Order: sequence, then structure tokens, then C-alpha cells
Amino acid sequence: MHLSAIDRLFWATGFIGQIILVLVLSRRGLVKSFPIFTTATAGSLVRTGTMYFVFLYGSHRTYYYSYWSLASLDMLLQLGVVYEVASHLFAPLGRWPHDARTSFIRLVGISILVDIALTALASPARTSLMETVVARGTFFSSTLMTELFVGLVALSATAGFPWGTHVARIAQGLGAYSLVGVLFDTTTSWMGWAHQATTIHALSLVRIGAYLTALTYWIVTLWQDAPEPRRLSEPMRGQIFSLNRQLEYDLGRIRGWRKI
Amino acid sequence: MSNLYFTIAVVFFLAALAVVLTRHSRRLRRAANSDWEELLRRLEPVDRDSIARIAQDALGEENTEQRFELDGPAMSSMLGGLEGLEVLERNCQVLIDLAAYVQRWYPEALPVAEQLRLNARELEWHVGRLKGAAQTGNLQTAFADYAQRAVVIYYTMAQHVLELYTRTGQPGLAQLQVAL
Repeated sequence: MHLSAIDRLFWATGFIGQIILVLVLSRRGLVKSFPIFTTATAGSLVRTGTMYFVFLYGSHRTYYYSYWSLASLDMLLQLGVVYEVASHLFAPLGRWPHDARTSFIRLVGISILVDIALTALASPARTSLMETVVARGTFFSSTLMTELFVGLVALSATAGFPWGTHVARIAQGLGAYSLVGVLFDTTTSWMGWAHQATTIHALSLVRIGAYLTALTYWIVTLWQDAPEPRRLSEPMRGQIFSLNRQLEYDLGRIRGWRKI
Repeated sequence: MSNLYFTIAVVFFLAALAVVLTRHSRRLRRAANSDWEELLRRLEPVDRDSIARIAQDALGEENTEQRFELDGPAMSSMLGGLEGLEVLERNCQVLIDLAAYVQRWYPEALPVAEQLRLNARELEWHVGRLKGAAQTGNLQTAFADYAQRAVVIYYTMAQHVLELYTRTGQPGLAQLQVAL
């Protein structure tokens, strides 16, 4: 199979960018805070390297199966990243508030249903079953990630959860890249490889360009320090705890009162 | 043809996402960049004496004759009807933002912000019931119960936000006391 100079350049840039991002995550001590995001980045690194050699030396069939096994794994990891972002957002102290957990589960459920409907509507102009599966699968994945990103923004804004600096950057990069993916898949669903392979290839370069931009954005923003949170002193923590108990008690009392 | 339907569906889908994203990002940005003065400016004026009176009417000592003396029409005129309650609903959102403002510096204050959020949801629920009652012409009968619960929630939320600011030693407490 043939690779043009720009293909090689993009491939190499992605590979190097992923190495730099893993290094940034580890040097800035973010691996512990974002283990799934780190795993997803390392996974993408392995995927990029593996697919390059499979593309050069493997058959079409090997490429297809390798691509889909690794892409499925990548999508699962991306869903994991969404969960990680949501955990940082809604449960920064480790415990999920009941209402936020319910809203998040509802968000995921509705997003999957909407995506199934949209993907079912799609009928990509592909000649083989393999191409159709690839087109539908990537569309499903991009749409789901975009929806989850927008849903998280809406949930946090409605419920008043502030975004931490690094969490916001990870989510923004992922959300923007997924949106480009949706646009790419929608545009190319009209095109068939037989007649418009050049256009599809050019558009796929735009998509890779968007990924490289997201990668650069993560490298730059995650290298920067997030503002250090202040720690409560022991007596203050005790006071906050008692205030919380008081709030719970008052709410229960209001719920339970009956008029005389 | 089916591709056309698909494209139209995706366009609608993306437009809906864009609307949701724009609206909520604006709110997030406003909450994140709001300085102290701005948060206080968003608090709409309310009749604090009436709120305290209605709340005390329900929060007084249990099993005494003095509790629940106020009836629906009295509360309605003290609060300014359903519109007055909608002001409390909007102010609740500011109270949550005020708690989130503290949480930005002290993440450990999160449980209090969570409880305030639950309180605000409860208040929204009561106001929602009243709006429903207003549509069916039963506002007067529903007002006494739901409105008083909503006011008590608002009153306790305001007290707790003040307490949170006192306990974390946040500046601007005096201004907050005036605004609330």
C-alpha cells in the first residue's frame, strides 16, 4: 500500500506528539490524577506505531481487523476518559452526589439511544460491508463523544459544578476533535471510495489535523500548572462538616413537616 | 434520499448541541469569571423581613399554637405572588454559585455546595408545583403549603451560605449579609 509524504508526516507528527504528551503527563505528575487519559494516550501511541507497520506490510484484511480491534479499544478508553472527566467534575473528593450520578447515567443512556437512531439513519455510499461498518462505527463513536462532552458542560453548568483547569482542557480537546469527526463522517457519507477517494483522503487529513491540534493543545495546557487549591484547617473542616450535617437535618425537617 | 434524511437529522442534531453548548458555556464562563461584586449584583432584591417571618412561622417550636398561623393569601401578598417566588428561584442559583465560589478555593467545601444544590432543586420543585397549580386555577389553595416550604428552603440556604462564608473566613461577608 502507498503512503504519500504528507501521510508520513502526519503519522510521524501524531506519533511524536503522543510520546510528548505521555512525557508531559508523567513529568507534571498528572498520571495519578488522570490514569485513564494517560492509558488512552499511551494506547493511541501503540496503535499509531502498530498501524503504521500493518499498513506498510500487512494485507487489506489484516489492516481492517487490526484497525477495528484497536479502534474499539480506543473508543472504550475514550469513554473511560469521559467517565474520568465526569468523576473529577462531580466527585472531586471521591464520592458521587446521588443527583449527579443519576443525571450522568441518564445522559449516557440518552446519548447512546440518540446515536443508535442517527447511525441507523446513515447509509454511507460504500461498496463493501467492511467500508460500511467502518463508516458507521466511526460516526457512532464521534457522535457519542461529542454528545457526552456537551452533556457534561450542560450538567455542570446547571448544577453549579466548577471545572478544574486540567479537566476542562482534556474535555475541550476531546470534544472539539470529536465534533470534527462528526462533520467528517457526515460529509463523507455521501461519497464512495470508488469515485471520490481523493476527496475522502483530503478530508481525512483535515480530521487528522484536528487531532494533531488537540494533541498540541493538551501538551501545552497540561504542561502549565493548575492553581493550587487551598487546604482547610482541621477546625475549619470540622465546622464545614457540622454545617453540612445541619443542612441535611434542615432539609429532612422541611420535607417531613406537617401542618398542625 | 436516505442520505438526505441522515444529513438533515445530523444538522438538526448539531444545531441542538450548539444551542445547548453556547447557552451553558456562557453560564459556566460567567460562573468561573464572576468576581465577588458580580455575584452579589445578580442577587435580586427580596423582602427579607417577609421571608424571615414566613420561615419563622414554619420553623417555630414544634407543637405550639404559634406555628403555621399565616395562610395562603397572606403569604402571597407578603411575597408578591408567584413572581416573588420566581425571584427566590433565581436567587437560589446565585446562592449555589456563591457556594461554588468558595469551593473554587477550598475544594473540601464541596459537600456543603452539594447540599445547597439539593435544597435549590427542592425549591425549584415546589415553585414548579405552584406554576402547575396556577395553570389549573388552584394557585390559592396550593400556595400556603408549597410557597412556605420554598421560602423556608430559601431562608435556610441563605443562612447556610452566610455561615459557610463566616467559617471559611471569606472576605466580603458584610456585603453578603446586606445582599441577602
